[in-house]
Amino acid sequence: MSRPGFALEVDERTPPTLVRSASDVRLERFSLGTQIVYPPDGQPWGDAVAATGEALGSPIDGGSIASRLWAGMRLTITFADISVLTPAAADDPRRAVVEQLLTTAAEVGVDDVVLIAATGLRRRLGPEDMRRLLGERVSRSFASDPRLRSHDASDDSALLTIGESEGVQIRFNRRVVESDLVIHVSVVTGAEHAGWDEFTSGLASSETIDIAYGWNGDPAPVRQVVADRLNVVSVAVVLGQPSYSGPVRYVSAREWEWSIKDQAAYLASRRALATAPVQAGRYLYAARPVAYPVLGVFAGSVDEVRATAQATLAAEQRITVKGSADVLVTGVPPVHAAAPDGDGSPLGAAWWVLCHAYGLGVEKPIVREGGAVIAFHPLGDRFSTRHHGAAADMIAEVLPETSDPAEVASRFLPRFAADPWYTDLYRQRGAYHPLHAFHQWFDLQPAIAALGDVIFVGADRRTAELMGFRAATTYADALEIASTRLGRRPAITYVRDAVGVQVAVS
Amino acid sequence: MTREFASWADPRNTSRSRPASIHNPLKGFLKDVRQVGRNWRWGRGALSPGDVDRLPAQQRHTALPVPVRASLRDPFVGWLKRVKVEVTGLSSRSGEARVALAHVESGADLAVLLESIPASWKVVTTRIPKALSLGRSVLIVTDFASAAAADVVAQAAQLATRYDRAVVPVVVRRLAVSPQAPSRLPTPRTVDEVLVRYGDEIRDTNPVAVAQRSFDVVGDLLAEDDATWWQVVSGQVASPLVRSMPAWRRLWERTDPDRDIARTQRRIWG
Repeated sequence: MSRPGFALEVDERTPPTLVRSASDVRLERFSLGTQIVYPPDGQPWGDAVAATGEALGSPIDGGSIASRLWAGMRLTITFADISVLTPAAADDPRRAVVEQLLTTAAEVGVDDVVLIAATGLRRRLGPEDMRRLLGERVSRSFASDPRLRSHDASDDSALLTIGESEGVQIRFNRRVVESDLVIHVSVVTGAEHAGWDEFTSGLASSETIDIAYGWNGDPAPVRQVVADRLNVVSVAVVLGQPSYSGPVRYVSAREWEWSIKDQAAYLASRRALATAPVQAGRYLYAARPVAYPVLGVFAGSVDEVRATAQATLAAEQRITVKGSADVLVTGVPPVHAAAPDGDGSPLGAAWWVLCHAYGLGVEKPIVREGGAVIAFHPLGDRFSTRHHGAAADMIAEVLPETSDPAEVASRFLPRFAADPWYTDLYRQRGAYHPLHAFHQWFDLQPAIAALGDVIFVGADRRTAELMGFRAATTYADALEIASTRLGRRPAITYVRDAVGVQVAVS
Repeated sequence: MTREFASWADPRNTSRSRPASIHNPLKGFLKDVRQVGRNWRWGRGALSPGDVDRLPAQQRHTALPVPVRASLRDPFVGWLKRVKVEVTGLSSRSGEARVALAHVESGADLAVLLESIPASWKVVTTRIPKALSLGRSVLIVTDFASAAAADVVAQAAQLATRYDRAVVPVVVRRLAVSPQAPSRLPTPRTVDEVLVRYGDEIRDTNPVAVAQRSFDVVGDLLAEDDATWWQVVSGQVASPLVRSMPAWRRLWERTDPDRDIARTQRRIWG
């Protein structure tokens, strides 16, 4: 079992605390009284194979998965893409689930099986990604076979209209719509995982995703049409806090439990990352799989599975802090949901801070309205323009003109969406869809509106200014900037690792 | 340009900040050492924060002992080893003791197998009955094509049923053999490729059934290697047991470069 997480109040005996700034690591001394949220101490335990077998044999809503299959049917297995499990798992649980589903299907005599990665607007997966998610057995079985593929949100021939919302056709993956049964495999590590939103945003057309999740979007009508039209069974694997091991164990270990070896590894990493190219830092973390504890596997109807999975996750992850903070402090890891390859754009880093970390509060945000967020990230321009070409152009062309989301949506989004260059990059060359960068920008807006200041420590001033944030050289400088609004003794909460934690404010 | 920017951060009039092209690797090192050493007490580790002392005892500390030998070896083993090992079918199973029954064709493959078995299994290869009763796992290897295989598998099944343990069939196969001279350092293109396939656990109270199932699973794993896993599962290919022929002939056939196009890595050139 994992050790539970807790909120630590900094006192004289508290050692300097680890902060991550992309691939860089540093120790920062926080002022007395700062609350530091430590996530559960994840130790690998649980058996994904056995738990999957039990879940498929007795789903929440009754009737085993095998009993829902028949020979000659059209079965489609969809699964969450690489953005979901970051950092990557040493043994991805999707492999166990998909193997067992395929074995069951084969025993029943189902021949018409297709596997589709629910990538939505994110980059489409290559053979190596498939191998990482589904393992050697499945990926080699369907190598160079269209039965194993990524969803294409811009391929008209592979999309089918299933309804209409606000005068826009709701189009969905054709194979999914035409299937007798769809089994969607989720991995749940956060509140946004599993459920109709993950399914819809992963398998609809780009226009449908835009009307549901874009600027002023409303997902409810789309969700309703999809739920009414499709026969979907959900399988969700709930995972706990990831734990690094080996030379980077210090990333997961609590500072006062660092051994001499951890201390030496930290010092060596600091020196190495200070001199090595930025790619080396990405490689150090992005290519290092970690172990996750398996908290449970659930199968059944989409809504019931989501509710059960989220309740299981909350029981493991929820940590209570005293009162809303004036200042929320967070680092940004090199590999996260918006940068699963470790090569994310400044937009992705801002998304991680202002959507993910800011949204960790249960029922209400960790930081009060009008408060400040201090994040650690360079916001540099050394990111993959192959993956994030549209984001690079948005930063260079759109944000110098306007940062107003409504104007961005009306003036620039249609042009980017219709540009065949971006579409070709998305469909053929592993780039993110051009709408993805816009949606990230829209997602930031509720937090930006609620906060007084957003300050990035160690950030490039030009990029921070373009995005409407403040740049500070050091953490102390960031507090100086925040103090003009929040006074000299603000209540500070630092979330040490924003993966695998939910924060309840008492 | 319609937005107004701060004069010190205007993207139109300021250049992007970049790190110095030559960075002194020792700059800031002493500060880092001082930070790491803060509150450190030699021989007793660091001082714990006050809140930690107030936590329940079981929540305070979990030492994860890592063998010193392994920690020193791990960073170098990937570079030095002369084989590229791929492990499939191995999941994060619980730490319960089990009997690993492996099909191995050469002594070199046995070393690879030992490297791939999770440390949490606590595998031993001697004093088998005592080890099983102490909660450790046991590794038994044989060549399933040999005449002695039936006896070895029967013994393994007896052990597993007597101590109520699961049998995990494993297949180790060498897929490509590099022609390099042993004295040369390995490179990514010249290392051997070895694939270790773990099958599903077998549990039964009847040792005969366990033995028979072990043969079946090993046959499936071998067939899966020759064809694909889906073809085996969906019954498109038969899963014969290992053909009875000398081990060198099996290796010769299997390492034929044209044997399996799907497995071949696509390269941009060469």
